[in-house]
Amino acid sequence: MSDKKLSRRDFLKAASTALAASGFAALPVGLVRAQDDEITISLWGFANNRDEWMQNLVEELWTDMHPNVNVDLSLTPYADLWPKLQAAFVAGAGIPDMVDIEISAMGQFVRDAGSEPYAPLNDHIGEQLEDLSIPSATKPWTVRGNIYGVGNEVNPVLLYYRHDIFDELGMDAEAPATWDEFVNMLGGGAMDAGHGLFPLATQSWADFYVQFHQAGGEFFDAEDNVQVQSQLAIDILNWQKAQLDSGVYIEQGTGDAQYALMNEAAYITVWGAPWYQGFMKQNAPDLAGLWKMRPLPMWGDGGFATVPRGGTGMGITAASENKEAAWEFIRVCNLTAEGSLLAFRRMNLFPSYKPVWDAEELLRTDDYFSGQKPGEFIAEAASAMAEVNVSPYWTLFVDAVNRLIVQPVMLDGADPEAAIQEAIDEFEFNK
Amino acid sequence: MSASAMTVNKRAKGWPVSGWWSRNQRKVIPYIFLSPFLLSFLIFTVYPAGAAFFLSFQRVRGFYSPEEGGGVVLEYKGLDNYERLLTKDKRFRTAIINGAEFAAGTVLIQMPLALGVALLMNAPHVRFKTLARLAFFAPYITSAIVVAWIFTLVFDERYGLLNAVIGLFGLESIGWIKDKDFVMPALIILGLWTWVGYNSLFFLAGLQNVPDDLKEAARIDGAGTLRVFWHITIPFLRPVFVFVIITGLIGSFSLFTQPYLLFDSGAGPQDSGLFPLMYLFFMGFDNFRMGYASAIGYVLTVIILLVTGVQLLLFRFWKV
Repeated sequence: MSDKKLSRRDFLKAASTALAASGFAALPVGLVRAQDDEITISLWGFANNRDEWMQNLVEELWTDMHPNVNVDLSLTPYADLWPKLQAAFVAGAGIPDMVDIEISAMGQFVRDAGSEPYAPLNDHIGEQLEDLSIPSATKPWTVRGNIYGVGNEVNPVLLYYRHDIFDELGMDAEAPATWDEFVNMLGGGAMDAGHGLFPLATQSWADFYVQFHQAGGEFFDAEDNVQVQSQLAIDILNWQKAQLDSGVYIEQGTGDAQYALMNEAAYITVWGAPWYQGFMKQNAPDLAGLWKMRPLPMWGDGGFATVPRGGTGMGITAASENKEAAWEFIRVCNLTAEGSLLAFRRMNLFPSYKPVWDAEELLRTDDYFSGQKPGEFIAEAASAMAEVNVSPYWTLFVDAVNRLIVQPVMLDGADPEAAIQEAIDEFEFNK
Repeated sequence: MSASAMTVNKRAKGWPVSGWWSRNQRKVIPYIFLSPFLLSFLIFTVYPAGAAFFLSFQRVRGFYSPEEGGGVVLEYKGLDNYERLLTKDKRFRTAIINGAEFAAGTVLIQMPLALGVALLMNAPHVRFKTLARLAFFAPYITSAIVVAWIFTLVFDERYGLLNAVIGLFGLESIGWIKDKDFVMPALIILGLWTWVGYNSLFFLAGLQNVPDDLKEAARIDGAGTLRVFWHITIPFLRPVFVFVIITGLIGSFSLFTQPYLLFDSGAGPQDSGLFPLMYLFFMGFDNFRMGYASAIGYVLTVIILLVTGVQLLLFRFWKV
């Protein structure tokens, strides 16, 4: 070993040489890339299943179609994605070309006209709009007439019930046509056998909204005015609270607890969009073959057969320098038979792209649902589904609904009318 | 003259810069060593704090495109954000009250428990002290995410460990994170589990610094165990009390991760688990009111400074 010591000067020389060398080494790489006309489009998402679908799509379809366009898929946990995106928008740097925009996270970035960080897709979609199921594919991402996202799944809410238990109790879960019949015909028998009929979310807006929306109510009108201060909303809240107090409905529980309740048959019906079927299979695999599905009961004469629930749309950022390539990726994912059917195969989500609705594989039987064909139920419900007016203030209002309407009414028995007014007052204050 | 100084002088004759360097290097070198910290402090602390102060007088209206240089569209609102926050905002008041309640739990329950644990670990007859210290400290180094997830299960109304335990005594199940009246006790329990062991280490260090000869002298003068503890041990622990209480208060008002995760990115039933930093986050990132969120940050800073100042004043009257 040499006994020569490394002086400070030698160290600095060596370090600066290494730095310069690495700089020169990096330079030709950039030049080569530029010469090849190869571009990379990036997408930020939050859902594992969607990420897997897109990765499969890139491998199976995209690379052959567009060998010079690389797709960089980045996955971020749901709650972290929006602050991360906001930071990028604020900085004006590091913005991805595309974003997977979850329906609830749509509004806050597009409140003020003229400074939206997403690019309108209307011209790109053009006449193909007719090929899409509007309530699921574009309406949730449409603000002031501009479509900022395309969703690939039709998500009508359906009712799932434990046919084994209903058979055992000698009750027909298919018989009730209305919600009143549903609780009157099935509630007592279920309770006598030690089951709740249905799990109600008592801390979030979702279950209130599903029944309110199905009955013809809306949180917002097309001009973003709040519409919840109505007798209909009060009636729905009172009705749900009455079911909860009587024991026909039980509290849903949060997190893993709701599936524990499902597994032990603490409730024997539950509603959910088609994506919820995946959660059921994942969290209650032992109940395979014990469930069946049916359309939702109705609210007497008015309202809709069903409502959409959830959904994620792919959008292009206004900052993207590769908008055409990004749109092409969104088109292949959502507006082609291959992309849509691949999504169905990977995620079991029924496509919002209507030309494939008669594809044989969409009508396959599902053993988890006792050999029923989910596709038939979904396609039928989709044609009679309500649309959602997603206001830019959706997140803000929904937060007020959680805290100031649903929780006080369902948990503390607060007066629905006063609770609604308080939520509206706070919303207007924060708007 | 030392050999190294002679070498420096030789070089100085040959190269003017070396001459300057040799004259000033003792003054300059400390700043060179400090510069990484100073630069990062300026960039990541001073600049954001200044920008947030500026932002607290604005309302964010949208985004400029990257072609326009990026950034947010701002509208000057003067003192509106502060006025709104201090006079009209019920949620901010709720968050402050929750922070104060949690702080009270920290001071009144956590601190005596931490002192008790420290006394136990300092007692001569207690065995396995190293293992006990490790066990008490382990919750503090456990990821807050893991802690929140575990406590979601512990607090579950139907399947939770806590209700299973109280069920053994014939008591009814409690909706720890569902019933707004039990959310704060649940958070305080979580806080005890996490921080009692951590704070007990400070008390233990303090206890080990209490001079034995002083205690012995007091005993010779006829003082009993309690009087020795009250008149000698406790006064010697004064700096530890100051540290633990002040950091506890700051931590209480800044609580975020545990309630945020425990309530599934929310604030618990009817805001019973809302803390000021969570409210700042909700306003800034969920509601995109970055100006208002900045105002919350500054008001919170002032509140914490005031509370800390009062604590320090109180402790000045308590002398050994």
